[in-house]
Amino acid sequence: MRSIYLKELVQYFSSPFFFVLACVFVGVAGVFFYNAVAYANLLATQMSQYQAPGGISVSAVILRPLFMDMSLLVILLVPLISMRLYAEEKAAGTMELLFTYPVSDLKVLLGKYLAGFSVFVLILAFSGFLTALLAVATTPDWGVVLASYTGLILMGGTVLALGVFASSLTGNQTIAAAVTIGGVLVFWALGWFADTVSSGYLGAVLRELSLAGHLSRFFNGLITLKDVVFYLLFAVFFLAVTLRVLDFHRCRG
Amino acid sequence: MPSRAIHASSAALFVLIFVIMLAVVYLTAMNHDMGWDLSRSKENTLDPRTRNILSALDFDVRVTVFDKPGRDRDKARELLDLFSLESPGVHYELIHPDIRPGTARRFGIDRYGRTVIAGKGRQVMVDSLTEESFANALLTIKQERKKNIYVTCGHGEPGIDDEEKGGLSSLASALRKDGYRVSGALTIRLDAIPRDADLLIVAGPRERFTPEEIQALREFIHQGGNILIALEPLADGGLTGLLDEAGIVIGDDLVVDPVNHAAGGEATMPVVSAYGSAEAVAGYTGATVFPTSRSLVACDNPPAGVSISRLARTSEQSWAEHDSASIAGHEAFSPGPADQKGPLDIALLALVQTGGNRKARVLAFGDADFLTNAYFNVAGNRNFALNCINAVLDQGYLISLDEGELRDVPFVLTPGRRALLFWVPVVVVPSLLLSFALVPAWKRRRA
Repeated sequence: MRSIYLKELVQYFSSPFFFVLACVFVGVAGVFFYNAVAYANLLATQMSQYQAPGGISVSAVILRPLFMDMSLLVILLVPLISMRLYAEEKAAGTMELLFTYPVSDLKVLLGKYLAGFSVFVLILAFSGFLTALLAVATTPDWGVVLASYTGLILMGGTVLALGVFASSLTGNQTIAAAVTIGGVLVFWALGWFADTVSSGYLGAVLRELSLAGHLSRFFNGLITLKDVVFYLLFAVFFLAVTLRVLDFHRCRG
Repeated sequence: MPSRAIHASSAALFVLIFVIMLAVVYLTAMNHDMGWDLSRSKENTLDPRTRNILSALDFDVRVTVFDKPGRDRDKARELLDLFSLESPGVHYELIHPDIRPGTARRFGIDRYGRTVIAGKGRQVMVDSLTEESFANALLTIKQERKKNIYVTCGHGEPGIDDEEKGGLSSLASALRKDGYRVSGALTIRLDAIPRDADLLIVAGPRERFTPEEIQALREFIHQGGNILIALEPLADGGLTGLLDEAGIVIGDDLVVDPVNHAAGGEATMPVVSAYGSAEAVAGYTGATVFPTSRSLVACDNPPAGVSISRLARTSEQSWAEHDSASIAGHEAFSPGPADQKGPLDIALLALVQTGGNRKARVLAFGDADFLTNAYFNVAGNRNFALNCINAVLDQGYLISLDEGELRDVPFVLTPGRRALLFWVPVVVVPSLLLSFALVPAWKRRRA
């Protein structure tokens, strides 16, 4: 598994792909960050003009909107990381070679998944300097920052599992990325439909399946067992289904 | 073809079984949910008062929020998640009143945001769901009978409806939020204490109570009534004898603390952070400010059937100033030989065993100002006062050890910092990352 993991990592880093992705992610996150900071500055200025007591809630005005925006970026970023994991092998005709490796499909899958996950976490880590920069102007709530990154990492891992599954279905990387983004958006928006579809059990199920619904508590600085378990199970499900797809390919020859 | 069909059906079966397994695991996690609030301001952690009410809940509560989708509804859901995380007896439903107008009409909902909180066959409707409105609704549902608190008037005491800085409206409002019924009691006219009084508050009388009134207070205590007496220096309201009978001696002095006094205030505003072990204050760490206080002394040999608990004491650097000229002029304080050295008691609680195995509680404060609007919300005054009253009224679950935290922080952005926060994340760092991508490619091209 380790050799698969390292091989995938080398492939990610041997092309400009990783740094271009990191550049776009960090640049757009930086724009969101500055937008939130400028808004906070406007609020603080207005408060001082009206001589309102106290300060502003940095978590509510800067951190929460920033992480909410970053979660949308993660939805777009992760499919670009996961799209090549199996689709590239299929397009290059090396899937059969992959099946001949003296390691199980599970280990190959985990090697690829963990490589993609490492790349995602590394790109996400680049954005960490944004909150460090914030300390120049105020005192960020590091607990909220930690919980928010935990939520983003868990959600990213989930999207990555869905992306690996999509990648195992096709030999076209673009299709794999599009299917992943589409799938994630559906799971993302389930919570929005939940209340209008039904306020009974169906609504409750849809709300629980919503990717966005489980993220908001992390952005408030709250980590709950339920949310952590949801993301882990979601990832486990799609990895398990991917294994079945690989098994199907192997049997089909 | 048949083998393909078998393969597909076995895959479908696998997915089905796997989904069921995962659903079971998830439902187990849901039913045993727990949370870790990492935020500094503990904004996801309920106020200790709400937590106490929820943990003492011995009935199921059904909360129905009628609101359209949006920020308010999301906030309500987040709040309800916290409630149900704290107590499994809290169940909730969010209903769009336009989608289910019949249900909305049945509950008499005529505006968005209205919330019905039901339990024990009773229901309370609130205009919008907040932690405070929820906690108060629970108290209303929980209490068989609202406890009555009467505040004496007619002796120069501050009024419960007085919203000026010397009034008691903040105290009255806080007590009402805790589920009590608060009213004024003109004891001189009634010549007796209202029969349904659970607690009588005598706060800062400037005039003396008549002997008949004092006798009425005495009888009230003998019948197991609870009384809170807060006296200002140089004004005892003629209640010295009554407190003596409860084993509490009030000093004819002014507490001075040159070290531990309120910042920017005088030495006659001692700040207390040493508390006794009584239920009301055990574990309390907040600071309480007593602006102009007299000392109290617990009798070494209290009358039979009386036991006294210390609630709050001043520091060792304090003393009880007896020089009446200094007290009147509030100047040139220096400890004299007759002045008692600190620590000094400033709040005491006497438990008086009365006939019929009843217990009366006499809560005495050497200061009344700290209950007034000007000081009630200063430092830990509010919690200290409410904790003492809640303990006297056997409402221990309302006791809060929270000191309150500052959730908002200053945000100062100079033009230099603003430029830094723009250029570094938007231009410098992305450019650096891009250069890592482009330089190797450019080098390869050159080679």
